[in-house]
Amino acid sequence: MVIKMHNRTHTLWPAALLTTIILFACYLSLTSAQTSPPSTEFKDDNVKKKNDSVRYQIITVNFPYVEVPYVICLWILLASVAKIGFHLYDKLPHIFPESCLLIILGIVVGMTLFYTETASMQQYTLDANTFFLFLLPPIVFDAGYNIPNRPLFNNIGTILTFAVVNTLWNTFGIGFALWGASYMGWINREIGMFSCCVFSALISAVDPVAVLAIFEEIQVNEILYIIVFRRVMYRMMVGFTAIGDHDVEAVDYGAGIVQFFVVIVGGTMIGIVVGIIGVIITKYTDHVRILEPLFVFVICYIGYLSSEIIGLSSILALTFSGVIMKHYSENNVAKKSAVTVKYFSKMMATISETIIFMFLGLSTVTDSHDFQLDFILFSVFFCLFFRITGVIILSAFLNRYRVIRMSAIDQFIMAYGGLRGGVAFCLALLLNKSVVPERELYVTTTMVIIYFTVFIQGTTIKPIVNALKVERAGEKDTSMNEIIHKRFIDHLMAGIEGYCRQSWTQFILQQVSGNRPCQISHHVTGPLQNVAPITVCLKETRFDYYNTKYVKPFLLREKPKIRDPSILRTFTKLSVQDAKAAVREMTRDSSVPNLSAFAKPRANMFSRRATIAGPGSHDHSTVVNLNSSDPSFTNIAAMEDTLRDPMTEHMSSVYPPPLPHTHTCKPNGSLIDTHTRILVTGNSYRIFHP
Amino acid sequence: MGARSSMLQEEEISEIHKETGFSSNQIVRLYSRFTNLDKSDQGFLRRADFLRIPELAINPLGDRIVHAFFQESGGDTVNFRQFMRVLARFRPVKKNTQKNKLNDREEKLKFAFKMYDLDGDNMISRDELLNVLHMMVGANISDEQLGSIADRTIMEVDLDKDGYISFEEFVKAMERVDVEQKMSIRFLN
Repeated sequence: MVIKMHNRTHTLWPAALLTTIILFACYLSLTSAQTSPPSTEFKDDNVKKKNDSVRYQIITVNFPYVEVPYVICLWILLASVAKIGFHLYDKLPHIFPESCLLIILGIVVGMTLFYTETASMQQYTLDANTFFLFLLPPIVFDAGYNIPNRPLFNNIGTILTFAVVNTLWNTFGIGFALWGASYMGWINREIGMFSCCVFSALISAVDPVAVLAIFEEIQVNEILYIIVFRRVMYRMMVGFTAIGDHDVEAVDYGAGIVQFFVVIVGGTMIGIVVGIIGVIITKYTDHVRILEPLFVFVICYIGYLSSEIIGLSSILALTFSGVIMKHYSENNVAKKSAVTVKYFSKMMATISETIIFMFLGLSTVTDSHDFQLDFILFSVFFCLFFRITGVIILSAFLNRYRVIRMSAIDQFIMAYGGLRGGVAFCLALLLNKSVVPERELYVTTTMVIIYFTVFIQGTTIKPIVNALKVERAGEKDTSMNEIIHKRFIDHLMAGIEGYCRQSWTQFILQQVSGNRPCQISHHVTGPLQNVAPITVCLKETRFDYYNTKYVKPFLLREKPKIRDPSILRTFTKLSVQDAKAAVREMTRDSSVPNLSAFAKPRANMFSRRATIAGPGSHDHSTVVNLNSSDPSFTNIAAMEDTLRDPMTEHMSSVYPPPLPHTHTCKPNGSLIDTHTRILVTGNSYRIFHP
Repeated sequence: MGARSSMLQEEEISEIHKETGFSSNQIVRLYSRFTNLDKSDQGFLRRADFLRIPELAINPLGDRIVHAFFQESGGDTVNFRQFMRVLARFRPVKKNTQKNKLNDREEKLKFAFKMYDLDGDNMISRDELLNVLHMMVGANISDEQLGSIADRTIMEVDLDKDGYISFEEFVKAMERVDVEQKMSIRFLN
């Protein structure tokens, strides 16, 4: 079955790609066709009136009308189809990160446009507004909304320390080093100090866009905070540069530092306020369920824009509002709305990411370049050097206070996994030439560095990590025992810590260094799993207590009934797994027609139901041949597995789990009754006989 | 702190160090913590002293934790030695140092096990498990559901099918869990 599908799509996707390219070619010819007639019309205006008799035109071609959206959609389509192809060849995704593919595609498109000399390049350059208003928010929102909160909050001390200190170290280190090199004449160019710092600010950190393709999970958290601070630093440096190298006074330095904190705190506050407003609104959306995703997106976006007005950290605002929305409003909105928000945010983030990388490829070919080899080499060297030293020093410091030390391998991954990506490039493109005269140099250098990090580091890191035998987090199939005892130990440790806490300084230090035992798992491959609380040692902190007692009743529609949902969640998940396994085992021998012929097919997958009776029920048990390759059935199950909904509300009755290998359903061995209906309720499966 | 630490004799410190593995600095610090808890200044702690800290009020297992201290002491009061002996179990396990018998993996697990096992028969019965579940999960779950959860939990590890979880079965259930790190606190030196 799998092989069949493979073959089919094998022929399918080249066809699709071909179609897209043909469309593209049509577009090219259309633009060139369109540019000529207007000019001739203009010239021969009078002549035309006399000589030409214009017949009634059945079809008129009017391309400029749709040009911009058409090109964008074509672009996105091209990239997405290419991604399909990319993933079909099994070997490729293992070697190259997806961002490589996107860059190459961008280069191809760029070359096509360049050599056919269509459309002036001005149309395809990145504009500050487009980037900050439209391309960046989806990425940030996706990160904020879809990050698993627990690892984030548990490691927050480490993450913040790394983010702030590491970014500062990198920025100033690289900046001063480059300026020093220029001053000493190692680089054949005189570059002002602040100008260097602007460059280092935009190059010093890593990017979510590129790194997400390779590492997921905890790196995401790091990255998010780094990008925040990086942007702040960048703004600061640009601010200083605007004043001019020699006019900066002590007051300005002070103001710069104050601005740093004001921006961060202000952005956070706006994010939290906006998030809370959004959650309260979702409390009352009983009758307008359709609008719920709208509320989530629009309110967060308004928060972003509002903080942009005053120049506060809009990224932080968006992140925090996303986190708050996720945490509280998911309980308020309908399940479908939650799914909509999740998928839509991911989709928009993918689109943004695609466009950014395509721009990168495009600019490689088309922009005017200022290629200065010595500057580039020095930058690359300093970037690596400062990143590695930063990671080593910080880890050594933090390890003194952490229970779980960051091993050498962890540190290597953090240092080597520092990929720059599209966002750095966009920031470089947006530099104002009058303020920063070395703009072209920076753009080119950034581009080279991105290529270096994405292609070379990106492709080599997997083999290196494999060689170092990093512990991969395997499939987490948790048993009931594990989850219960783990939670038990969490509570125990919280209590004991209360007895040991000796002073406020120790308390703060423990908080900062993340003394709570937590696991940094190295997911080198695999998608971002919705990390259940079990992988993280969560202790019931004061925050949880006040959260449950005061905040949740205010913000949530219904008071959460269960104190500790993780145990219940694991239980239902395991019961569902057992039920599915039971069905599959039973149907292995019987030859029964495909179920889908009998079940009422409905458009909405959630309403397709199938159930297996448990012991002690009144229904007659039946054999069901759920064709195990029936994709929709597995899809329902998969979707319900991945939805982290409070299933407890739907748990009307729980059947005792069937003992393994002793099935409660008695095989009937015959055809299913034509009237048989199959019913899936939230967590259990049942077959009805009328 | 100065006046109080002089009440802790040098020999006592070295004895505690031998028994538990804490360094002298850590012992002195923990002693000051002990005396902070000891409001009535009697040199030992009672139940009320334990229950006084705010963390325990919000902790669903608060009573059990306090009970664990008293299980160690075997009486109504807990003196400093017994206090330290309990805390010693939460010292991180260092790989290359001499294995102190109080903080290795088995001792840690035994401590957790004893917190489940109230009647001390070295078995976790279904009722004992139900009690703990009830405390952790909250009051709004029906007993039926809690019962199924408890049944499933026992069934998962009950190798000898006696309906109880023995200590060996408990250890086996936790073999994938990194207990050494989960049950450790880094005491400041």
